[in-house]
Amino acid sequence: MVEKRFKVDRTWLPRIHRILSGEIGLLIILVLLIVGFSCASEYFLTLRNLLNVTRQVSINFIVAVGMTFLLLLGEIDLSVGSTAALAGVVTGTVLKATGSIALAIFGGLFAGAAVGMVISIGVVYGRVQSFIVTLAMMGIARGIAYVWTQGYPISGLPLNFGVFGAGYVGSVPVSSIIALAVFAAASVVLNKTKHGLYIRAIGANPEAARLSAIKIKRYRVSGFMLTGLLSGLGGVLITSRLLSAQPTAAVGMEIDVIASAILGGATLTGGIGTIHGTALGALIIGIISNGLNLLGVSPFFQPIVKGLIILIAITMKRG
Amino acid sequence: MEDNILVLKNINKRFGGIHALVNVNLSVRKGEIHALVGENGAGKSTLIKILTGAIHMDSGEIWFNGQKQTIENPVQAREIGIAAIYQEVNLFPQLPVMHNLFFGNEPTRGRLGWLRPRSIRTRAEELLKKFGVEIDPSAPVGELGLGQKRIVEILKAISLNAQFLIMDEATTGMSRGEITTLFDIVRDLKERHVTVLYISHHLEEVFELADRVSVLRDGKLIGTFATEKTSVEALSRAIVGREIRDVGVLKHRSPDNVVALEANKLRTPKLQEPISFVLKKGEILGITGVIGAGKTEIGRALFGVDPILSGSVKIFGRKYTSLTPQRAKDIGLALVPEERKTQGVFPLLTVGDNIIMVNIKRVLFGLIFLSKRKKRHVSQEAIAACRIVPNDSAIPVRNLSGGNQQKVAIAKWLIAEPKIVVLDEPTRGIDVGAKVEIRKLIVKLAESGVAVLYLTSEFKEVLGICDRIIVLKKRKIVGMLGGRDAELDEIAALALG
Repeated sequence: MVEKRFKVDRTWLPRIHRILSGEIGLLIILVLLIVGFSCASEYFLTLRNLLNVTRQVSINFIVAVGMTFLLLLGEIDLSVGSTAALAGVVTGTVLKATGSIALAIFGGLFAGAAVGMVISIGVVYGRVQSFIVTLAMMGIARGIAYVWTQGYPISGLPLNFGVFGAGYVGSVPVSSIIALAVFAAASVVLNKTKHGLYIRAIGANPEAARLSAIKIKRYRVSGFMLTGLLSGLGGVLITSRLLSAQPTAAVGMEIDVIASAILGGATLTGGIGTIHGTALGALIIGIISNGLNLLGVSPFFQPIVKGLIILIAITMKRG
Repeated sequence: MEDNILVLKNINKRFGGIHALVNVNLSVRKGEIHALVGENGAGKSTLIKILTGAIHMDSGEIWFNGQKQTIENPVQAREIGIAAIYQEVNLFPQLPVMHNLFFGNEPTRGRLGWLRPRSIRTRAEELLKKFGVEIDPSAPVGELGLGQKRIVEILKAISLNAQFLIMDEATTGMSRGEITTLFDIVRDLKERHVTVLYISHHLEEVFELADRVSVLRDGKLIGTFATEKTSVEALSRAIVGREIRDVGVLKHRSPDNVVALEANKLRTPKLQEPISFVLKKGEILGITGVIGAGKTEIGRALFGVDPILSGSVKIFGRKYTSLTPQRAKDIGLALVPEERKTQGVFPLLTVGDNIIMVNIKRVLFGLIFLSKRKKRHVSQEAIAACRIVPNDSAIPVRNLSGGNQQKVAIAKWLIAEPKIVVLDEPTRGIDVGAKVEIRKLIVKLAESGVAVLYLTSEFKEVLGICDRIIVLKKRKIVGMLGGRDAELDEIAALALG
């Protein structure tokens, strides 16, 4: 009897069903949005535009992956936008100074991870709530970026650096490929490794995790550092796309990032959330922006529509 | 019937397979102090929850003040005059005493509900004076001692015109002096024709305070006695009953004479009195006592959850003066904690993920990757060994019954192949079938040479399975009994008396 059960489990159909059962609502919303925008704009449902959407979504999604890890741990990071800006500025500075693209990217990623580590020290060892620590860091990281650049963008970066944010392989944007790689790596870590299992365990039930002799602190630290690192990657990609490092970049990024993860099923209380859910969440938000742009809706009006759709989507998921 | 304020007729309540209250008939006279006693799981909490509207009974009648009542919710309970205070203080620590006293019932002016501070103060002062209590009405409640907080809670109930006050383990953590003061107030209530239903584990308090006492056992009302006409011994016997060793599965085992663990004058923040005992290889040592007597704290100290202040633990000959859960695990200890859902298992995760949690090394390939094949193998092995139903490792633990969740909490540690296992309330709140299985599992563990520390606040749980029994009272060891010949009344007399 036991044998039988395993055989049933191994076939792909029920497994697909299990993966999607939590996201059926999201898929319906996604399809509705696509159908709606396709009717309204003939340009919307073209391969070119859809690939464009994936490019627009990529940075938001990459950072939202880190946020998903944090939400799973029952934590949050409000400073992702500021961290991305700071990392971008570091990237620009290193690139100008050394001319080495590899060194510049490393600098940006390092800056992001360092910010994450500082946050984790405050949260994990200082025992201050992550909302408060990252609210402070939101100001601090942005402030450092301003002071560093005196408020001016660092422009005139070498053209070949633009390949990451604006380049294409065939007709596929490079940043979409990077996002796909992050998606794959994060899914594997979360579902197939000890690290991922412990992260899912700790957020839902920190007391049980402690009594299971799990070293909780290192996993919480890793969540903040990963989010910092991916914010740094986001900053590098923004800088690459604009060929300019701007201290004002990614203002308000945390809103879309958190919304993507929450739309994708993550909760603020920890223990719940998936990478593919977050991907769907990010796609929905990206498609709303893209569709509204195509329809010529005023950019002033867009945040209202986006906010309403997010509210409706989350209410529908509850129901 | 006229002088009864509360009459319960044939109250029944089931939780799944557990019959928590069975045809309970109880009468409480107007103006008496009526104690309600019984072991954990006897049905006291269920009865209180029904009276305060927190849960609904399945069948039966509640007559209050001569009228048949259906208590739908806590607000309704309060409206008809039933109030309750619990083991945990339910006050707003940052607000002053006077605001706590009249919370939700403040004297206000006008439609907008402007507070009348002077009126609040005067009324608070009057109330405190009426009961001869010297507490500053403007002091924040958080700054008061536990005894004073209790008094504020009682007066708050009085200010809401409660006629029937339920006190559930209200003296937990209080000093003798505070208890004396509290009892004076309770007697004062009696003078003012307020009826008190007093729930306690401590029989000496019952005899000091109550006029009559009712005993619940296994959801049934055993009887109501006048405290003058009964004794601690008779009451203990009524509480624990005689039909014990029901799940006796103890085979003839002889524990090795090898000492597995020795606690030597162990003290932690929660165990002020030093605790010493010895646990041998292959032995099942029971530690029992009422809730709050200290058995959980002993388990937490041994597993490094609570810091050791002084004294030491010797494990297989090595002495430790500080422990963490990681270290305890590495030297072969396991703790199955008392709160299943928040401490024992991860309800959102699957059975398989729960089982591999502690000894994850067994299912890794490479340094970090989980091997699906090994995981399936290990979880099937554990599911079979612990008879977890259903035998599917892919379903979330929260979908399992309480008994099977408990088996997962144990299984996860068995995978780590511990040499010393501490089980805290392993059979609480689970049905009889699961209970028998878990007890069999524990005996099997001991037979394989594992040293088992069996912590429980249900006295009869230690019988029929333990080699020796330690009885705790108020965080001190008050008795050590041989497991085979121990009698239930003996344990009850030590723990309750």
